[in-house]
Amino acid sequence: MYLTLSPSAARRAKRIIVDDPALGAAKLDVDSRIPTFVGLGESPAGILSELVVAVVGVGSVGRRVAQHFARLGIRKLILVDPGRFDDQANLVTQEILRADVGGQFKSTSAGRACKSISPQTEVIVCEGVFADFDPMELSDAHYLMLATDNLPAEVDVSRAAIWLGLPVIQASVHGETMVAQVRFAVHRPGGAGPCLACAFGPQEWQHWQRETLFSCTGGGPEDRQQRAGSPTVSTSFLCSMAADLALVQCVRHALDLGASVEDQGLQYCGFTHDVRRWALSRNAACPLEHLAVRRAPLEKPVPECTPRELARLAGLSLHSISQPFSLSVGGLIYASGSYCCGRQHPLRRFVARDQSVGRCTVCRKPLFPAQSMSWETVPASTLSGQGDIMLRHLGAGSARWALVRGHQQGVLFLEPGQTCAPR
Amino acid sequence: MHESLSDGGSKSRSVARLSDVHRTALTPSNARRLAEALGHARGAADWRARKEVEARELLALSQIAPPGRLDVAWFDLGEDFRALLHMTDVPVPCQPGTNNALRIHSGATLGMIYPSAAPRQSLPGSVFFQILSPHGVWLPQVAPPQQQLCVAASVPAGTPVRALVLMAYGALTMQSIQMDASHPAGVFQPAIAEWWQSNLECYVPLTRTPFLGVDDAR
Repeated sequence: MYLTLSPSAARRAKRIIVDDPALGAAKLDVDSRIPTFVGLGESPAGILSELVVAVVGVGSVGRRVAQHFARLGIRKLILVDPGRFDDQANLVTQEILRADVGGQFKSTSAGRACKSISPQTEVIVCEGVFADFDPMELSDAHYLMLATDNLPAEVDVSRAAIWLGLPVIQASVHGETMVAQVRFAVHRPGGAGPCLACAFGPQEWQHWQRETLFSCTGGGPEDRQQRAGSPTVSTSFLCSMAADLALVQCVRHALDLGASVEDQGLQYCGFTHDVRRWALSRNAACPLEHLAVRRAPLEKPVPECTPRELARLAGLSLHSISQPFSLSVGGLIYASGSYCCGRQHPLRRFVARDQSVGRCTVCRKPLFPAQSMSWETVPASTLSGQGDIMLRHLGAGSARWALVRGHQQGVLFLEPGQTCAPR
Repeated sequence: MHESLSDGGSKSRSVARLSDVHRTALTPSNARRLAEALGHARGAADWRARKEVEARELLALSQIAPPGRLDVAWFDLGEDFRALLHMTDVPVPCQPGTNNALRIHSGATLGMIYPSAAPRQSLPGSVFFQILSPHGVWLPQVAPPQQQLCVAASVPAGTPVRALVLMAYGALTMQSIQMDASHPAGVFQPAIAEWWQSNLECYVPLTRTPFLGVDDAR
């Protein structure tokens, strides 16, 4: 199976909203404890309480990051991690107790801890890899925190950050050299900002390639999940330091404190006591498509729009040769046809992945869209003759978003009332 | 989509070489199809350039191949490079009948996807081709029910489309076959692999004719 992150990821991981009725009306009193930082002039609690943050990788570093955010009383916390606590060695680096080690998901465990700390924070947990996560969950997020130790996750998160226009803060450690590092990348309109993969060299891409290699026998998400679960070899205090530095950078950015931390790396080395800062820059040869996506609310539901309307709102023309564009709709695939018994059965509509689209008129077996005639991102040229048909008449009645992609820019259209994080 | 057009009998009757792909000028109709498809191509500049090269080579390959060997019915460069390929003069094994005799279908229709990751990432050999016709292809490296054709355990990064087409031809005609279910590369259908292990001498390969050749050397 070839994996790539797109608005409609191939699979969906289990999503849980963490709740604890025992907490009742309990609330974390942030106001009385958080200082008024120098230069701010007011309590930061009001600003922080509106933050929505996603943490990808909730292990030795990410769990601390998540708990720090909970202690700031933020509005919403999204935790993504496929791993489980199945080894006593987790106690070495993670902020957990022996009773926690019993096979439970790290994301769920951290989610419960965060909810217990800050009952007013909405906590959503995804027990799977980021590639299986619906990126639209991040439509109201302000920051994407990355604390994994595998390159496929970095690439997937970078892709999502690019087309959602989210700042990414990556916290990582190198145990052997006692290094804690934070990278803060901001994707800007026009595709100017760096992504995390911009710094990859040939070695990183080779490693990434090995991680995503599947044979006919294996194939599928399990291989990837197993690889994603490789343990961190480090110390608790180093992981804590990486998490702490990441929070400092994030809070400074959110509150606009001091000099800008955008597009910078920050590193502390325990051996030398050196603190180093460097600029992250856009690599013109980066293989990820640096599409600048802006978000725009629609005045009517997505299914009521036609492809031509969406193109016009995005500043494009449906059949423009000079500016070809493509369309993704609500996690659905566009199927132009299906094949069975040597015959082509035309479809030309949006369908759910793995959804049967009828029965073969010859053998009566269920028909499925032909792989080579199915698009997650459908080129406008393929929608020929359907430009003025409402999406609900094209099978997309359940769609809540649509993404129009041109050469250099894209527009993510959201339902009326859907939150757009301030850019 | 770009429908197949007659190429005015320009196909070479002498045996061509794969290296001729680079020297072959596209027929006017193929050149027009390519120009139109490029107008709808999206993606980063390097990917658009790559798609142009791959599409040009695929069309050139269809021109130098013997008649009926490869017909590019349509292709699309909008996102991934997609094509619908007809191979009418190609023997394809299909599910044996009641007397256990193999049925051999003449020709196959393949849906091809060359994803944007292919130039820089090694991919599993099953992501490129889907056998749309015939139904019930009797090969262990074909995955039911969508009939994805696995051309190799993994395909190295940067493998061009022309090479993939040759690999697909080799797999369909059983010039290259993997029928050992215990091999690390594996098979999709162990029962079919077992059938072939018992019937190997009768049929394999279905033809010895190379993709660009016209004579079965058997």
